[in-house]
Amino acid sequence: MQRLTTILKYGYWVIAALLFAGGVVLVFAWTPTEATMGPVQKIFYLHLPAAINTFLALMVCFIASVGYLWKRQQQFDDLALAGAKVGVLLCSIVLLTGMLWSRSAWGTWWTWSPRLTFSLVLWLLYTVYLVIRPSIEGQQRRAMISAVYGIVAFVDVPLVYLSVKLMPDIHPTSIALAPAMQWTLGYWFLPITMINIGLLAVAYRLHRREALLARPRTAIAVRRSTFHRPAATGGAA
Amino acid sequence: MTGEHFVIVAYVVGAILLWGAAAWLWLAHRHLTRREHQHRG
Repeated sequence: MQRLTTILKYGYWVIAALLFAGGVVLVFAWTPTEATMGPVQKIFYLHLPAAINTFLALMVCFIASVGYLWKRQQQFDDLALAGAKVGVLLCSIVLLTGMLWSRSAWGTWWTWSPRLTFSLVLWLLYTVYLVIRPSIEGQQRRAMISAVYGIVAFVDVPLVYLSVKLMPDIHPTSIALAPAMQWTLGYWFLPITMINIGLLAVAYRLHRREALLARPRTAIAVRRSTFHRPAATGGAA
Repeated sequence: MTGEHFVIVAYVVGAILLWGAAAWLWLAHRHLTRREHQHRG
């Protein structure tokens, strides 16, 4: 049974890698070049699936944060952390590929347009989430503060999506694609979504194992603090 | 740099970040497994 699980796990990553490699071949050898923007438009096949998967990963963080506040179970906090980590990773890809596109198409690495600004704010919000978490003392307190933060930070996701529709923006709202380009775009959702789900699962499992490994030490720390408390209280009184 | 160079850089950066993250998590799992063995021992 364990051998079958191992084969399935490795098989999943091998399929994701093959799909990724196939996508690269599709982009460079099969998909035609767009007439207006030229070759740089091919960044779009990685940029858009990464952006949609950023939203999915951060939605996992949001739902798990709500779950933690509702049920107060550590598993939800571990899942929220996994969602935030994968979300930041994918958002980094979105920002970097967008900057490369921007430099080639608009002649500048960065412009403070609404969508770009809200995307950068999104990356910063969840990076702060990851950086601040370890400095919060106590597992339950950390989980509680992180859950509230994870819910509030998610407000920026609809802003990123809607900004281009509600405000004047240099960022394109939609691009007319030839059928071959549509196929390539649809195809690229497969490897990126598979990698997203795979990373979420692996990160969640890692956090669960870390939490379980930390448990005995926490118990020892609690016992020690209980042992020392009467003397300290007595001294203060 | 031409448009094609930007495309190549974009896909290389994407591949490094995605597969780098997967490799990093795999290494973290291995490290944790060793710690668990030490913990039990």
